[in-house]
Amino acid sequence: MLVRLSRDRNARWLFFTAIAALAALPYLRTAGAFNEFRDAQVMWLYEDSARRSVLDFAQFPLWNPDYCGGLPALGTPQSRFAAPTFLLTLLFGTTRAEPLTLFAMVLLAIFGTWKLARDHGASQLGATLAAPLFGLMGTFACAPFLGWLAFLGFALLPWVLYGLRRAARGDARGVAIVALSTAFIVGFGGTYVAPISLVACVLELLVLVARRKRLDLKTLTFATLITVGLSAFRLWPVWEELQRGPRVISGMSNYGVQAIGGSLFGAHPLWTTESWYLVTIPAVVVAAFALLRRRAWWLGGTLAIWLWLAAGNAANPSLYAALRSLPVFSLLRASDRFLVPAVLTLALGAALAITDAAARLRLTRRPRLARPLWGLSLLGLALALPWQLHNFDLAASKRSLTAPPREIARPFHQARGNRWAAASFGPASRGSLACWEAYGVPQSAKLRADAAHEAWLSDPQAGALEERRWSPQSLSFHVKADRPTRLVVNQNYHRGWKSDVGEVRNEEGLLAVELPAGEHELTLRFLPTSALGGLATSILALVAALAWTRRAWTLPQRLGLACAPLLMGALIAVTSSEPPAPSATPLSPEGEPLLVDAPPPGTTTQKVRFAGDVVLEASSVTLKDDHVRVEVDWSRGSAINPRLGFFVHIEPGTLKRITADHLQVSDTYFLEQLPIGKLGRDVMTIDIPAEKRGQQWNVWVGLWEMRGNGDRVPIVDANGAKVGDNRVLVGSVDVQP
Amino acid sequence: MRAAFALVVVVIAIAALAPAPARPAPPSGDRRALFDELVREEPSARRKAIEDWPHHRWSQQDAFGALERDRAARLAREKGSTTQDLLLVIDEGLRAGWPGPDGRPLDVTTVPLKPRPMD
Repeated sequence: MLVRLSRDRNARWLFFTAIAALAALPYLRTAGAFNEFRDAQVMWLYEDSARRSVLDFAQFPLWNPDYCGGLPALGTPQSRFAAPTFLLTLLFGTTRAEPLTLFAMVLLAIFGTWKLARDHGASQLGATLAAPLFGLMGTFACAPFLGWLAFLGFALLPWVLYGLRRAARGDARGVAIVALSTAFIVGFGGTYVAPISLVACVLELLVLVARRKRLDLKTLTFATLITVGLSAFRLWPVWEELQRGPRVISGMSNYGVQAIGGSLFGAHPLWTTESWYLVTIPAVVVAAFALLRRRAWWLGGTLAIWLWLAAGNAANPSLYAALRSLPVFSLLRASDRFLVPAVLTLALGAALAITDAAARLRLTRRPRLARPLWGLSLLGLALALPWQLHNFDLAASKRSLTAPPREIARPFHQARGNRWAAASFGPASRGSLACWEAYGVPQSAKLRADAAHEAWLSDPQAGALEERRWSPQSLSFHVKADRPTRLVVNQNYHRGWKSDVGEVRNEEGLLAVELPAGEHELTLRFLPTSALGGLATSILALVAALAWTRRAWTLPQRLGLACAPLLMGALIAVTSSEPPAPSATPLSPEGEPLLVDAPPPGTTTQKVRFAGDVVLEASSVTLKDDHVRVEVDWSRGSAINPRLGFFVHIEPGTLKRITADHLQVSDTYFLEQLPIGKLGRDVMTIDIPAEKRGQQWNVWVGLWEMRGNGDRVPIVDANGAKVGDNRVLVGSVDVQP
Repeated sequence: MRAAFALVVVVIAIAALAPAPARPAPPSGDRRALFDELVREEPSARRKAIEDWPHHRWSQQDAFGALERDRAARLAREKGSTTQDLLLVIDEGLRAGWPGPDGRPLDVTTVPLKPRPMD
């Protein structure tokens, strides 16, 4: 009967839908409630700002004025509105759409895994019974309780691989599937799903080659070009933002055998603690049965690679460390995310195991173990699925729930805000200047939380200003200027802002417009080339993909089709009238250059040489009004160890020391980024806590493998400086009571 | 297929009909007094933030924000209000220029984001 049901398309749909509904039920039951967790607040705000921009102002949400003083909505990697699930947000509101999105993504994950398993040769029954193992995995259960909905993008991973396999066989539909599912992932946001999907694609192709399958390289090239083109609407803005404010990762992810086991099999104590990657022990046992077939060696190999990557730096040698040395992958922080594709591999293994077990039962000379193996496989899945469903319950119960934020329609103003309760402000027509993000959102220090008006003339005597209309994406003013003046807006500058009168300027990080004398009706609009160019590229890529499926094309025509969107994107970028991104010439707090040829006056020469080809050239420690200023000047050689960071110990007499460890010279350059022959000035401002006054402060500095094994770097030549425990005394100062 | 579609409709209905937690009315009465109560610990919270993050100005602001949120949440529970409503009272006071507990103006600027490297 099971076999018959699995072959019935309707029954299969019902089974998958029911499983997804059961999984999402703990979240659906509380769909009207708001998750108070700090990260959930920020992610909710990103989605809700986009919703209000569309519904309240009929504007495409390119700019988000509600957070940090304004930031590009599409360029923020963690926003997820540029995906089809945004329709749920528009229809049901931001809060209620979250569990519906979870339901939809779990269903997508199950269905995609079924497709992929079938493509790998699993039977209808095997694919149907095993597909939920991936759809119900711990990541989908746990991500919503932290508000990290971007992780639900992993639901598209089986679709990407399924499309890739079909494209590798020369199938045009495969191209469409891999391109659309990747664009969905990219639009849904996050910093893990897209890079890990890319690794999965490479691994899948390597396995196909190793299994001596013929690859249609022309179709694969086309698929790659179309996929990049279709994803340009988001890739381009995100790339631009990460250039402006990179994501800085310090630590090295270590995920040992015990941690991996706990994540996959269930955290201790079992059944009462939610697990981030739960697939359960019985499911792993079932998947292991697949290895009884020699042809399934690739499953074990693929799984081993995922586990090797997931182990991070706990593995030696570390594949993860090697991967992170590549450009895009340096954004990855936690290696354990590679357990997601590991679970997908296990689900595929389980599907093939059930397929084999059923096949053995049908043999006329049935092997002795055929029946027990079949029974154990079914039992394994019967135990695994309820366990995984329970994990959703456990995760959902961890949330602290309250009523959704109140919406207050009134004139918009920036507020001091609070990032720990960020969602409190946007719906109440307030922007939260208090800001947290995982990348460096450029933010002006001149933003005000008490401005009577959200725009003003830099010279109030120069004329009169009246705000005509405020909306998230455009601002209109009437200006009567007796002489040339500058209009300043209480939002962050971005080069994507355009004005129909005057020149857009960056006024100490604030958005401003240089205006001539006279009376002006002025409108500022946020129309960045990255978003518009990306969107145009994606639309053209979609047209090219559709054209590809409609008729047969010659090879040059195919190449033209595939390259045209990207060439157009490049043309838009080259011909853009946007001012170039601000040149990165970071300055010290005193406005002096951070890269110099010789130690500045007032510093003491040290010339202490560290292993790893780094020299502490000079230093100074001085007392200012309410803080201690520490400067340490560094140089590096060509054999630099790229994993280094600084430790700084400030020891006020016998009191507990202050630590000021950091990764970058003046929060700007990694040591390995310092030009050879130049000195990088690491300037630190240490505020003086009241209880640390009345002491002599001794400041010790050293290097450690902050992105490596955590060890201190030995001093190889102290050059007469006072050193100890591989640290250098760079100065002392008496701090008065 | 029809049954699956019906199930999807049921799922949407559950989500659409799930009750939202009751939201208390916005705080009434003397808003200035409420503001004073909310910001009473602001100077000490800022001192604590400096002690915890003497070398990182953005982290000082962020640590202060956590203490401010905790205080607003605690007072919201005591007064039968919400954290959001009380944070908006702080905004109202700052915009009106109401001073802090020491009679000095409260900080209405922001320290630009400087994210600490993630472990």
